[in-house]
Amino acid sequence: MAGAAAPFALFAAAQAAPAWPVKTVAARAAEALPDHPWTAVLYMALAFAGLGALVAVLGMGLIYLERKIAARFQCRLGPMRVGPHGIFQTVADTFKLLFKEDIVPARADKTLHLLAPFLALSSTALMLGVIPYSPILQISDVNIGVLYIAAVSGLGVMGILLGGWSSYNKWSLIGAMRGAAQIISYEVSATLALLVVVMFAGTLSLSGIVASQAEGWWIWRAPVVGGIAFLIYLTASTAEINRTPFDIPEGESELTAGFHTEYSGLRFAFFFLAEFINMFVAAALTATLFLGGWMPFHIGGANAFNAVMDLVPPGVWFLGKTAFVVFVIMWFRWTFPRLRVDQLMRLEWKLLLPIGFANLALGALAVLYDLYFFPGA
Amino acid sequence: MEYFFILVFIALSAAFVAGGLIASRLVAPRRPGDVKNSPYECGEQPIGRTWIQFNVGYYLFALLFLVFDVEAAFLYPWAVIVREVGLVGLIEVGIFILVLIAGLLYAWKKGALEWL
Amino acid sequence: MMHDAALTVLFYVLGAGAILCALAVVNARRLLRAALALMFVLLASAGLYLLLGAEFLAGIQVLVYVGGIVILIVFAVMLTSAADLLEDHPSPGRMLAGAVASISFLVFAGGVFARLELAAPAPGARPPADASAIGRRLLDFGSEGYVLPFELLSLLLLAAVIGGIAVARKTPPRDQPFTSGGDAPGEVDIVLPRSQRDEPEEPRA
Repeated sequence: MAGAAAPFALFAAAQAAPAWPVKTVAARAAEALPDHPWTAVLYMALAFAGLGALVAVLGMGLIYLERKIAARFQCRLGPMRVGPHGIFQTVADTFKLLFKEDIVPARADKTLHLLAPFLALSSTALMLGVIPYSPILQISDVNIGVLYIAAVSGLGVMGILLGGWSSYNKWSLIGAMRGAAQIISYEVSATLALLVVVMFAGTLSLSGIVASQAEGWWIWRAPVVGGIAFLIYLTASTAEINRTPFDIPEGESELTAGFHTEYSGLRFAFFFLAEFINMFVAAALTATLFLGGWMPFHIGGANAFNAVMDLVPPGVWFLGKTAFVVFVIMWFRWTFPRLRVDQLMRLEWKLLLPIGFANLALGALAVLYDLYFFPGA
Repeated sequence: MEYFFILVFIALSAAFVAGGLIASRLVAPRRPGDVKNSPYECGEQPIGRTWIQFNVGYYLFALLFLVFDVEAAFLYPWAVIVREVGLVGLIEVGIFILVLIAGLLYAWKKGALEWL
Repeated sequence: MMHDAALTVLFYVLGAGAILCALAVVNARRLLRAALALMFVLLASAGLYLLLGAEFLAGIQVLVYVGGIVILIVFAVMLTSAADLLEDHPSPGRMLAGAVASISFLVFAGGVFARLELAAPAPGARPPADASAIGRRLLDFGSEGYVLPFELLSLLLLAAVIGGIAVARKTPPRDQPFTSGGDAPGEVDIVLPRSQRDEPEEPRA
């Protein structure tokens, strides 16, 4: 590809330098540790303060967005009273939940009932810590990246199962069992879609996967295969976070509130928070794996074009893509009716799984015979 | 260091939840009652036990998931070196997957993929 | 130096946690609590793998054991309809069988450990344990490789699928309403054994 025109040679030269040196907060802390231990501690404190702020802002922002977007789809206004355009509605709701009584059913397993929200929220927080938000903004880059994500999400399933079982409520138990069955089923397809990207990128590390998309995002650079994998992954993640049309575990018209029927007050709030942040994590991972993460829209070799794209900072790219996927997931909710349990299982095991396997095989052939764009890069 | 951060995450998220719950315990009212603490069953008196036998279908799906989970565990190491091991590696993995797909087809034929 | 000390402390913390949780597994009165304790045992051992630098193995441990096996165990518990309580007084036969099983395992494990030479490998002498190194060994069909066990493993998994389906063969739900076919949504998630139907509710306080 000789895309760069002569007048833009200056831009091309600028592109040649390693554009985005990746450095995680953990790496900075490790570097500072021998000489300036307090700097390392500072980095750590900053990372956790940032993460806490992210959880709070995301939780409140996403719930507000969900309500506003839902309202717009239904020609309503949504929350309008608390603050301008109701932006403080979720803050008010949070305080309301804080002051609500924490009711535990009489025959519940009280220890497990208390433990379940911990599991749900820690598994979510553990995933937030490894997402590459931008080259300089990633708290920890574990080198088993995608495997780590798949493994940690298993803890969330356990949180749902325990929450449902310990409540001693029939709705809760059925919701938890359905939820777990659904999450683990769609996990299989999500893994197959994710392996396609791993094959093309040749690494499990999330920042490595982002870096491998410097010549183009895998959704189009791996022709057809990438697109199919993207669709499978998006569907499977929507199912894994129990969003409509896959919200059978907590379908309010069938199971009251599913596994968290018997949760109230702040314990309920933590489940709710975990659910919304899981949506962000799913969107961020979809963006990272298939839409380049923080990588600007590049076309291999077209250096002038790429340089223009680089004017937008990587963090903004990441945020934009993630926001887009979040919007799509919210859009699903107002477009598709809820599936039935049997339809859900049929979709996964009889449709997505066979397609996933075929896609994996095609992807492997595409990698082996360089049947994708810019294979040399 | 990268993993040490992970370890601290666990502690911190637990502290976050615990702190919230303690704060809520301090400010929220606590007036338990027999009716309030009974399991919610749409306003009716709860009937029968809750912790009862579930349909075997759940177990079958969990078993199938486990099989494909283990399969995925073996596919990760292959996926990172697809280029290196080339066609031979693809054939080796292909045989592996085909045997599992035979299992899936068997489950399909036996109706194990039907819900109930 | 300090780094090593911190790792040693971490090792003992994780080890003690694993042992405590393992005790909780066998002492828990409720099967689900035992399953939860088992999850923490497995997580702690994943932490120990991490300390040894086997990151990939730690990830697989959590993926397969915590995300798979423990969930399967929970589902199996739900099948037994005895999810709430263990037996208070197991029959003498069961106690005897349990004693024989645990003592023979103790002897076996003791024999294995007596023969082992548990010398720590020199730093740097550790074989590479990242995903690509494992993949290379796994797919290598030379004498160093593990391609035959790898392929046999697929047969083992196939056997697990077939065995699971054979054991858990679903009886057609004849005596249940709403599942007679057609477009009936498979809504009956719970199968009540005959003994449990119409069980009188406990007197309300």
